[in-house]
Amino acid sequence: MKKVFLISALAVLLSFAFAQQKAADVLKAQCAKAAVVADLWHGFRGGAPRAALENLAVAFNKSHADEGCVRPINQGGYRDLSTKIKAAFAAGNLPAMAQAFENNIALYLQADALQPLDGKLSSIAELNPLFVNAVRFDGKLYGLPFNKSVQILYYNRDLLKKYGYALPRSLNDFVSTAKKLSKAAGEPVYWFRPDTSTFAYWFFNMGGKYVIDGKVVVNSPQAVMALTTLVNGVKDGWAKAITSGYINQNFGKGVYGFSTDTSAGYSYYLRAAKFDLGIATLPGSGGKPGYGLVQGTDLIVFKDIDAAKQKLALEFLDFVSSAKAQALFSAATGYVPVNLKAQDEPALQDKLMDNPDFKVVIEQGNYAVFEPAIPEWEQIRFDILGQAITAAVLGKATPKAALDKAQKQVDDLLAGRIR
Amino acid sequence: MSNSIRALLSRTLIYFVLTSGAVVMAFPFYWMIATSMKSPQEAQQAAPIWFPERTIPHNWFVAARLGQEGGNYLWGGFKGGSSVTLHLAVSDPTAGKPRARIPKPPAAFSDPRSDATHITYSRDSTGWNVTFKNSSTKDFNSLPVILYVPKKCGKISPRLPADAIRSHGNYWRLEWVNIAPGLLGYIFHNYRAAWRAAPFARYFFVSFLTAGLQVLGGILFATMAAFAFARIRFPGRDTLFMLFVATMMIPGEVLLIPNYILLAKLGWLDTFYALIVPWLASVFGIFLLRQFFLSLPQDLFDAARIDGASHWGMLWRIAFPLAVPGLVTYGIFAFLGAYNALLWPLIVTQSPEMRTIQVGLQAFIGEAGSDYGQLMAASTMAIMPIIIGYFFAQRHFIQGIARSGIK
Repeated sequence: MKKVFLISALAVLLSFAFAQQKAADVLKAQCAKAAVVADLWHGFRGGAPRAALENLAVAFNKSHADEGCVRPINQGGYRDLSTKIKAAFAAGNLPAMAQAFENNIALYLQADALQPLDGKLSSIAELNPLFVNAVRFDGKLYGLPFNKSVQILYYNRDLLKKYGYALPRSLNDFVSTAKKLSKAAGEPVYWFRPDTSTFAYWFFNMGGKYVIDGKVVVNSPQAVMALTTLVNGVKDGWAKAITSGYINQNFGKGVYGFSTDTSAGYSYYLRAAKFDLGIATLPGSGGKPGYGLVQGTDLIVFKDIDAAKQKLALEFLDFVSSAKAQALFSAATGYVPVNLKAQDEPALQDKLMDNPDFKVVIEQGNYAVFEPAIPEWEQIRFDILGQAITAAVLGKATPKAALDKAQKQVDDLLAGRIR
Repeated sequence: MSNSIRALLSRTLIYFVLTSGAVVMAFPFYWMIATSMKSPQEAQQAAPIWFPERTIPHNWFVAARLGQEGGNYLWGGFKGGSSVTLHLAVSDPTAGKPRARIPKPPAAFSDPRSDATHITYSRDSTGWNVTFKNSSTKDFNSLPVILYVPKKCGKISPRLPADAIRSHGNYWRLEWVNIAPGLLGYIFHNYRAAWRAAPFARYFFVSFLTAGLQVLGGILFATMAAFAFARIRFPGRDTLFMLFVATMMIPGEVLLIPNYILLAKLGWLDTFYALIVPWLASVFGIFLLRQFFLSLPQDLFDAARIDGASHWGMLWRIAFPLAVPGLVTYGIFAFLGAYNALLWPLIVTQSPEMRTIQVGLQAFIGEAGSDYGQLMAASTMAIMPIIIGYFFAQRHFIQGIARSGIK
């Protein structure tokens, strides 16, 4: 009886006879008859980013049908992607294009594996110069900034309204508003993840720099000050460290007021929030927005590949950097449009009409900062600096001691004494 | 008397302990199924929701009726010419009028569904009726709705609970992924959405084929090797066996890149060979079956030899049939290992036709959050064949795990 029930349950499940992904099917047909196929390895596992990228490729292939086709291939998440690229280096079967972080680019450049893009992108003058500078190495352009997210301020409009406080616009204002609100609400309202990204907001806006005279420094006075601010925030009861899951997964437990988090999480924040969720540019100084850390990848073209594939790849990069393609991509995914002219395009205009708050993400893109583009940065960010920040916030070490220890590890790592 | 009380007490205690154990073990499973029925907002709440709206029978009837209005009481939809009415009870209907809109799909320049839908509002003593009429002849398979209700109206209770409610200035913003879902379309919304998100039918096929062939091939090779190690004397046998077993100490991740290079040189990347062949020889299988063969009485083999059997004959006619329990144990482990593998299939394949079910599950994990409802729906679908298999082979399963002493 049980078995019969289970089999019929399975039959019901399997009877969902539904259409498959459309763009993926079109791409398959386009590439089946193409003479040249340029693969693009990416880390979009699913959802809107993947669909948007596939749609862009479909549109490109339609207009370049006589030359060949670009085929996006998902290789898992970003870490899986970089593992696979390393394996492909060794096996000699690199794709034409891939997504890469700036520190990945630095690594691939050590193997001289990348094709410079100078002179190949017709809309280069329209691209956000902050993003473009981050992919220049020794004066040469090695990547097209593609899916970029930036730190923004998320806040609870209902809470500010209830206690009659204005949105903070400067760093000091931010701390004092958080203090007052926390006092009124009876619990800490600034929620943060004790990681390198949150730290970066305070660090950069207190004037910190990671590279001083060509040396990576993580224990500068500004770094100590930034970490002390977070640690004291917890002690003084205006900041709460979120140690499990994303901040937006913790709504409903306690009073949420603010967070400084990546714009990539916006759709998840909107889904989870029951309060009126607002976003704003980060509190900064001198009447200007604060600097927000940029994350997300660039598109790169590999050097030692077939000339026809390379030509097609460069044309694809030119295509996706256009204002129209960037507007479509940004509207569909919520990433910062890399082309500054994209805001004038109908696709992004529609998005802004639907959700005027989205202009915050575009505006914050003009106040963007990057972490150092060195191959070791991923390890420093997660395993060294990230650990130090967590340790200090959880009270296992003082900010100074934690960062000094991290500095020693960074020195050892960069000198090759540890791996 | 006191004895029977003691027996009763000890039995009660045993049942209590076993029941608590069962509840603890079954809990994650319940959580998976419950989450697979949650709306995105429910799935992301920090306070646990034990019974999502989609599991409440009252809502099923409402969903079926709204689905009926849209065209189909089972799977819902929004047929050409149909109209769907949502009743919204509010404390003070006169305080303000709700306003509804049909959201457009992201990055769509035009949306026939929102263009074709006419929305009308009528007030009664208990609240508002919002009617959506499909004025075209086109059929749509769902009707997503966003509704703004003035906060002045007081307490709101829509007939079909909203999938998400959020404060929006002076309004409450209510959102439904489908206002005319139908009975099954409502309960299994995440299942349907997940199934559409990736080619799961193909993923199932690839997973079953690779896992099945790995089990069959693995049994063939492991049996032969194990028999040789257990029953054939040759110089260096034990050293060789130690070497084999020692390879179990090397973590698979270390071998990932060398193996990838080897497969690339063989031209096997993105083929079934890459998914199956490297896993045909299993040291664990050899080890397990060797121990099994060693436990068989020597007399059987002596008798076979007297009757003139070769090694080959002894293996297939005597050892193999007696080793069925060991083979089942190994088969179960090999199948589960292959079915659950993620990293290897991800690295050695790239076309959607060659990807497995575990790679498919990744589609719901994003960069800054995950779509838990659909992820759990897809996980439930992925785990279902294993559970069905378990019911058929329950006895072997339990014996197999118990025998190996491994979990």
